Amino acid sequence: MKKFYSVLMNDDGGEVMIESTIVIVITISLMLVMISLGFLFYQQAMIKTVANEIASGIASDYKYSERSGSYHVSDISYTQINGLRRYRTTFLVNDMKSEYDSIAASYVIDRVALTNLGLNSSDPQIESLDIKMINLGRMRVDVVVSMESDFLFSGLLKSLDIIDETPTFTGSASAECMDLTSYASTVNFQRYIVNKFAGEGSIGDSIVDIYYSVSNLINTFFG
Amino acid sequence: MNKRTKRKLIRVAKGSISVMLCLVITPFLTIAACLVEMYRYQTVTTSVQELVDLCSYSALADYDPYLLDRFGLMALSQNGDPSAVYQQLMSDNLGVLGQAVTPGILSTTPANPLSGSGSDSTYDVIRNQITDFSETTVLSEFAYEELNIDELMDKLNDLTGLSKVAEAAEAVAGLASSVEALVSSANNLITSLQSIKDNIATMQSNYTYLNNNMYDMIQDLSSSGFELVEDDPSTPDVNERDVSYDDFIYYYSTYLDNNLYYSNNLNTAINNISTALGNLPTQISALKDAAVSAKEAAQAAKNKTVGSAQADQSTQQAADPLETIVTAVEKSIDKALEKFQEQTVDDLLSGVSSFMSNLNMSFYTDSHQDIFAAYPVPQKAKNMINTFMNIALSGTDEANIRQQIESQIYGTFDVGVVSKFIDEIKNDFQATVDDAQSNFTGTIQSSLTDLLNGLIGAIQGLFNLDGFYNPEMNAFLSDAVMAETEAASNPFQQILDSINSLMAAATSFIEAISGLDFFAMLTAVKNLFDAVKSAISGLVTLVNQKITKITQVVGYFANDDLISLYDLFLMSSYVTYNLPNRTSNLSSDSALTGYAYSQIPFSQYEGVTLPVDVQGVAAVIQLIADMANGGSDEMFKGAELEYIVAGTQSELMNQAITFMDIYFIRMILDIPAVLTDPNVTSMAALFNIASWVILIIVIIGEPLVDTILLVNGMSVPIVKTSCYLTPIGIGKLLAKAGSESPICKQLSQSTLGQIPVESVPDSVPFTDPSDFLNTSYQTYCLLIIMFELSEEEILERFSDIVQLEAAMYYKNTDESVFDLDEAYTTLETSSTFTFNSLFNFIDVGDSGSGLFTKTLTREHGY
Repeated sequence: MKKFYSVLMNDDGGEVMIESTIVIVITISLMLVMISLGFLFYQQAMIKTVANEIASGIASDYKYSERSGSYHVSDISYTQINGLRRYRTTFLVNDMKSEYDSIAASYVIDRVALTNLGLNSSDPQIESLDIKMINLGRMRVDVVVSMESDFLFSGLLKSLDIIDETPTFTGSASAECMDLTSYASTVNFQRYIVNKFAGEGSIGDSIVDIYYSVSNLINTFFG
Repeated sequence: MNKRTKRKLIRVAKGSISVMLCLVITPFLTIAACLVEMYRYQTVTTSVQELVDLCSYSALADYDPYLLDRFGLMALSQNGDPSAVYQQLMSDNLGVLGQAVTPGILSTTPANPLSGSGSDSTYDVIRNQITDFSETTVLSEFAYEELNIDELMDKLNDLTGLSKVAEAAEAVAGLASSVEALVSSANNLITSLQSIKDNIATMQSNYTYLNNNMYDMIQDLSSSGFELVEDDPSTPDVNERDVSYDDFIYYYSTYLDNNLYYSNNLNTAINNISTALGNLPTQISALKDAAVSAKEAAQAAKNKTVGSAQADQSTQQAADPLETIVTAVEKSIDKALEKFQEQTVDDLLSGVSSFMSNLNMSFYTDSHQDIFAAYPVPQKAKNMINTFMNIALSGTDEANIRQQIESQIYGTFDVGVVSKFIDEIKNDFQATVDDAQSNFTGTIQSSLTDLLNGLIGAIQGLFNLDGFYNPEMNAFLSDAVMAETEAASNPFQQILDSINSLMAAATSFIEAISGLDFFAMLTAVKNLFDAVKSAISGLVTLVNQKITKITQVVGYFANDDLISLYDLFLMSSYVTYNLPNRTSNLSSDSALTGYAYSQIPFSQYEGVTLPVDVQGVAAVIQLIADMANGGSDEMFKGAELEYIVAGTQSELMNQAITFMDIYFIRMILDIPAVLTDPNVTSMAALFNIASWVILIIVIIGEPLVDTILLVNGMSVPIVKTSCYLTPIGIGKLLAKAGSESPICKQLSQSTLGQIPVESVPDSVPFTDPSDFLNTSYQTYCLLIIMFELSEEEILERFSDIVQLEAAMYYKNTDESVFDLDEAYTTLETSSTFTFNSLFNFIDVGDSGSGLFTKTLTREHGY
């Protein structure tokens, strides 16, 4: 028995096997954790990118009603110019929002499919999409996108309780609408109103009438 | 390496783990590296995209300030270099990303100039910028300028001076209505009196017939077996006289049938005269009130119109149509009232009442009914026969018998006296009314002859006014700055020629009537018809020219394309409110954008008056022809809106065409007012055979007056209810235009307008309460632009204005050049950049076209 222990201690045969087994298991485990974390961050970054694209796309192109099938209007043709939206910063904001809800919902699915490295348990969604007037003649788009997705080696992170059973990725973005003609027009309108009000003194009551006249006229045309 | 060494290496176990680790870990590391690179790539791509957007908008920030300030349009400045700005900004900002990215080719291409047009439409860019700009401000301006009717009406209530003129005019109109009602009532009364007289005459003849028949019947009854009982005539016994009942019924029925018709007519006639006479006091009272009111109104009108300050000897002696008419009517009324006093009427009514009460009409009807109701009851017939027998026996001679019969029928009333009385009244009143009517009509007719001559002279004079153009705005653009404009032709040539012919023929017609020259009158009538035919032909031609656009506008409604209609409205209104016109005050007014007209680099005024050798409409035709001469101006002198309307190089021609366009619209709008204005129609009706000449003259002249008012900065209601070219309407015109206005000075030289007036404040708005939508010259231009011009014409001409103004502005400012075709509104950027990966082995492609080399193309605009 003593001889056996002596032989066991002095015989280095299989040493490499044992050692490598320990090292490789630890190393691979660490790498798997790192890779899964990489997937996690990638998915998060991707969803953030998608949210950014949606917000910036709406902000820069929302004035054009004709989009030629693409999300971004990268080529402003006469089709786009002739499709300029009327009253896009005032009366038709809600109509525009409902239209973009539909467009963005479709876009986010197609866009995520292009660069997704995970396995979605459901389609990515637009959590919220708001178009707000933030200042006189200036508007802002706020978008929140979410996605439930599993990815490679995510079980390791789940076992370590780093992520939930069904990881949810959420990305939000904001962008200011670039609509220079509308902004210039709005500023000019304010100047016009102020001039009429201050310039003639007695027009204060007429301002209200003008407002109602304009409102009625617009409601006539646009319901 | 020999075999031994190889075997040794193979058998040696040391280091095998490292090799194995390398083999196992490398794929993992590769995957991890790829993930890192992909993350970095995505981040950089997003950053570069945002950078491209930001730099592109920064380049667009170098806009043309004049276009924005003056027209509200946005385009790249032609004095800047957007490409250099973009490249500089991109290079600077890409440095933020460190070595992660290397910029490649960065280029920009401006596109979509303001003059740009798509294949299916025209001037898409400028049209959309206009509608974009207009959607709030234009609507507000339209509401402010056009819909403030209440404010205007409120102001009218304060114009007490004008209200007196209006009251005078209304009083005269009321007086005319009263006279007309009186004549009508009088005619009805005369008809009733004539009917009564006729019926009485019939009744008188029938009475003789009745009397004879009655007498004959009684005689027949007597001779048929009845014998007069001389000893006891008071108690005739019918049973003893052997009278045949059947014979009696026959005689008496025949008698009644022959007379009942006439007795009914008499009854109706008496009722008619009773009703007519019953209304007479009311009519006389109304007439008196109208006369008093008219006298007061006439006095007020005289007090208002005869101003001591301006009433010189000649004007004081001048005939005043208003006063003449009122005076003539007063005399007629006084004369009628003098002979037709209320006491006379009361006497007449009393006489008729007495006649009615004494009339024993029941004798016929009751007896008739009794006889036939009683038949064959003997007692009733006996009673009737007894009555007749008593008559027959009451007198010994025929006269006595007939007198009793009369008393049975008419009582004691002497029908001859009534007839005579009525006859006298009727004749007397007939003469009085005839006299009053003749006096009134003759006076009016005499005034109308003067009036018609005055109308023709006034209209010819108005055509001599400078209303067709403002001579100070006489630019004629050179071909160098305006090469592609329409020929300076006059689309209203035929109508003007026709109007000229109409005026000449109307003058000849009046002369022929005055001279009682029948053949000259026939010739003048033929000429008038020819001129009317030519004018109608010209109008039809003109309507055909204009109808195309109107059809298009109607099509918007038909196709439910209200958006296009709304865009057209916005565009037309923007152009109208943003460009100066001949009525604008260039030193104080400003555009819709707030840009002062005084800052627009117009050509300097060089007012000229074109030589005129002829007068009236012919002068206008000659003037317009002279306006087609060439010129060398680089800018208009203020009549830019008229260029939009007419589109010729001649500013004078543009004004003239705009004038004629408005005149054409006013003519169509005024026709209902001319035909329904009681002052015009009564004038025309009293002028008998030449009534339609009056209407034609007023139809020509009324829109001319309206248009002259409009081009002088005053307003005219779209829907008028009364005309200016009447003795009453001229009071309104004087109040509206002011006595010192050219139009009133011109009219005051004619018979129509010889009403000396006090100084009335200039440009005082005046309208009838029933007038609708008081509108200005600017508004009529808006209507023309919207309903007559095509969208292409509007945009093309507006683009010309933008080009002219901006080019002149930059020429004067820094001697730079402006070209609308280079006023770009979008900027296309093409940006190539290379992503520098941490692990270069992944980039397997060549530089510039490899996996991590990307070209971003984006386009942004205003």
